Amino acid sequence: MSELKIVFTGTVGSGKTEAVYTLSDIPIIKTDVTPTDAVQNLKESTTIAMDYGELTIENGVVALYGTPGQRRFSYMWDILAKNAMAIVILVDNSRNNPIEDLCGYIANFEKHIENSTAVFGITHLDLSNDSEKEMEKYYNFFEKQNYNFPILKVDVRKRSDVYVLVESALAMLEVA
Amino acid sequence: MRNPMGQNQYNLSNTEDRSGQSNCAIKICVRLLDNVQRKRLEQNIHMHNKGKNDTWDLVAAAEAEVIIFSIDEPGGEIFLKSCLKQTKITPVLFSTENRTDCPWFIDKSTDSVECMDVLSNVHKALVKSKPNESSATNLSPSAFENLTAFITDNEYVHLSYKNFLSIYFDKIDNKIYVENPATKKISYSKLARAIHTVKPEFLTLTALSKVEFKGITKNILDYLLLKKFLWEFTIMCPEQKLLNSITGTRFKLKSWPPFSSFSHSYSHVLTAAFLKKYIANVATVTTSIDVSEQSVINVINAAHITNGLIDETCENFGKQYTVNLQPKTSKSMVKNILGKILTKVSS
Repeated sequence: MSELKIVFTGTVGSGKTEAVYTLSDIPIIKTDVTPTDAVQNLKESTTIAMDYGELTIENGVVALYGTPGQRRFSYMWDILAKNAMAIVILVDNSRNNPIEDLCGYIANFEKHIENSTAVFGITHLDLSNDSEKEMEKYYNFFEKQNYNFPILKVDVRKRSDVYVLVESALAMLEVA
Repeated sequence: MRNPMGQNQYNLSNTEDRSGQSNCAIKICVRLLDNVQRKRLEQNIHMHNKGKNDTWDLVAAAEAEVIIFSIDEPGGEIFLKSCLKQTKITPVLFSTENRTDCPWFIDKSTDSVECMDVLSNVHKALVKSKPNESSATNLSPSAFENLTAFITDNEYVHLSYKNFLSIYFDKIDNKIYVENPATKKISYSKLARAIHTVKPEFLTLTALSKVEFKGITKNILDYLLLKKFLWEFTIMCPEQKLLNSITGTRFKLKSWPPFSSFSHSYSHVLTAAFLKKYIANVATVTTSIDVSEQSVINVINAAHITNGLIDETCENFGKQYTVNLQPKTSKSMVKNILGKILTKVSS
């Protein structure tokens, strides 16, 4: 049975914490530490267990979880994704092989996606010369794989973009 | 086909104008848990419509412009607060007293005649407050169809409006260049609205050669993306029918629409979700997920124009899946969550 829970996952620096922060009504609970590995070249702090926020609605709250991005903390992924109503997967397009990253997340969250739904947000497209061409490669990949998941170009610093991600996830749940 | 008339230059005044058929139907929803009261109000709305050429259009809450609600029911106060923060929805309070000073109020104990009086006043006020809404559809459905067909059938197109606004469409590179002396930069929605609201007789479309096109646009640095524009332009077009160039009757979407790039409603997203999963005709979509026919047509037309639609005449159409909805979430919860996030987004 699904809980009122949305999980944001994805690669290191893809904007998971930012997305949870954008939606949360409460100050988000973070488990950030200063990285000591290669991640220190990317950002000053990294999530090691989870981010937690809450969106208060009529008669309850929607729990918002952000997973750690680093694979070595992946044991948390299953714990956090259990019974989630939707998994939002953020993919940093500026990484070396974002399609491979995306496949990795689909494989890791497969059983959770089957029980809920998934939405893909492609981030950091502002760093590319032609974001539309970049998006085409994802559209083509999804078409080839026959994936029906929503895939969107997003900037998680924009509230409206995070809104569209959740909106798409809810629409998918309605037609499940 | 070079263009709808088989010519290199085309003026939209040649198009049969059906815009006069527009009425002022306003979308309304009765958001009450109390079934008896809800049915009574819906009956009043139907009665109000009789003989008045569809004054009201009863729709789901996500599409409504006017929502009748009760402050006494769970979430009533939150709903009112979120409505007052945005201008898209006009709340009409249905209660025993108007202690929240809601601009529109129907007393619970009121009879049908008084109730219809209030509805009539709300309708008049809304029609008055958007005097240009119906004239914002200068572009009739057939003019819209011919314009989009001209743009998508030709590789390079120049659209001019009274020698004032020049827009260059590049289908090959998916770009639009705008030569506009009034402003340096123009957004997708402004451009779409501008074309929708001008008088069609002053719009002229000319197919250009690649050399001509590149020569003219080489000094225009800013550009918009054609596909995004076409989504915005099509979604905001009211009173559309399925485009004549769409041959099939059952459809599915090839890819997810770029919803983060253009204005849309939740009905459009829901329609896209349905057509991504199922092969269906318009009627199946509207009945299965309770969205308006117009929303479905808008999405199908936009997907078709942007090459994102697969219909049954395509080879890779695939097999028919039986529509068997077992939603993993309730409609009320979806609206609850979206309403809350929307309030956050707009705050």
